[in-house]
Amino acid sequence: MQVLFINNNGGGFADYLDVAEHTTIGKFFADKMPHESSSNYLIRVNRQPVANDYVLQPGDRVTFTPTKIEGAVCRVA
Amino acid sequence: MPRHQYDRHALCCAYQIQDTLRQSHLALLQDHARWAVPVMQQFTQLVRTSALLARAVSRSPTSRTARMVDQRLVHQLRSTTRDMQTLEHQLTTDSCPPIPPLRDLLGELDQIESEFGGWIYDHLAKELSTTTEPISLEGIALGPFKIRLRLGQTITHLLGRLCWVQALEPNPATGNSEVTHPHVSGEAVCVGDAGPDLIRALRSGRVCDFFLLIRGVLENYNPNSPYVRLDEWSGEPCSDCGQSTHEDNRSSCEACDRSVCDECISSCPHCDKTICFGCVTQCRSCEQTSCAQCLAPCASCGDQVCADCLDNDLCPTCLENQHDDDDDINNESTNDTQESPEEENATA
Repeated sequence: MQVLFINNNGGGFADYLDVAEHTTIGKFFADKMPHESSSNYLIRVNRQPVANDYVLQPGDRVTFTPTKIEGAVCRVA
Repeated sequence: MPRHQYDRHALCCAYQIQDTLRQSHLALLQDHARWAVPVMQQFTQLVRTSALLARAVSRSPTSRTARMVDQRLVHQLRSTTRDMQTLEHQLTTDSCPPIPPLRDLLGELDQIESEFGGWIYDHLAKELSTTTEPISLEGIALGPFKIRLRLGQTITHLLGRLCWVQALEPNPATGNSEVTHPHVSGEAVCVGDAGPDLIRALRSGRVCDFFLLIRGVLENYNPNSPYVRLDEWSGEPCSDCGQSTHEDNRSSCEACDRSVCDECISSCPHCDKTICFGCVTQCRSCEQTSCAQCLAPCASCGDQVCADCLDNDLCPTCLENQHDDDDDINNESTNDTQESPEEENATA
């Protein structure tokens, strides 16, 4: 099955991806963001927060948005 | 706000977002066409060079000219390949995502409602805004912030023209009232590395993700690159350089009583008093720094000199001059004394 995956920590990557049946959102996060902690992300499925054991459905819209973003002083070139 | 009350308002906003995306996509496609022109010109050049090579080979396959044109062709091919790769990278990273349907844009507004508790669309200003919860960083309350997104103009990498962050209960840095957050100055937020994500979210019409990312910047502190450091937030501004400084890193000048930071403080080597750079003065003789109180005027020339250099109320230069004068007088006196026997003889 396919889900729309939007990663707001990868230059705004958005694409339809094939995922196995019965994949939970927790496993999907671990697969896609192996070096990241889910506590540092807003994880939404179809614009709603979901539990870690939510099972992805065909056509789901999954977004990972970082919550810890480092700002900086703007320097005009 | 219940959905049925803002449907018309939401539609108006969604239409405006869609219109903004169309404008931006058009501008982006025009940019792509413009960036491709130099590469196309290189292709034309390649065609010319290959025709030249064919002519040179037909005249004399082993000639020096044929070899030179062949080398030029290889050089141009390498250069064109490199520029094509660069162009491909530019077009890919700055690509045009499809314009979302109104239904999706209304979904974005619904999501802003659930994530932030509401949004406001100013039809005349073409501005969509939402408000964060009160933000505290390292124990410093900065209050809630209103994130304002200007619609109706092309989305470019210049985020400062599109987005403003307004402190609703400002607690600015003591030394700079424009800085209402370590990463906000004059309502412009500096987003650090989040820039490409924000632009991509906007170009895709994902306005909720845009607001969430800005909130992510506001809820975090990067001590390596703030406008004002949080540990200096409520400090007093240094009277000398203006830098906001924490109480522990501040001293009071014993000469003028002004409060200055550790970078702008010095001490008098004569009396050990703490003095600011504004009160530091210099001995005109030995040029050592000192406070004004440890200097005294030379009784002869009036120059301010330190106690070490002052002798009999005179600076070393004047003292030397006085000694020279004294020597001259003594010499004259000695001469006078020596001349006396001769004068006596002459008289005799």
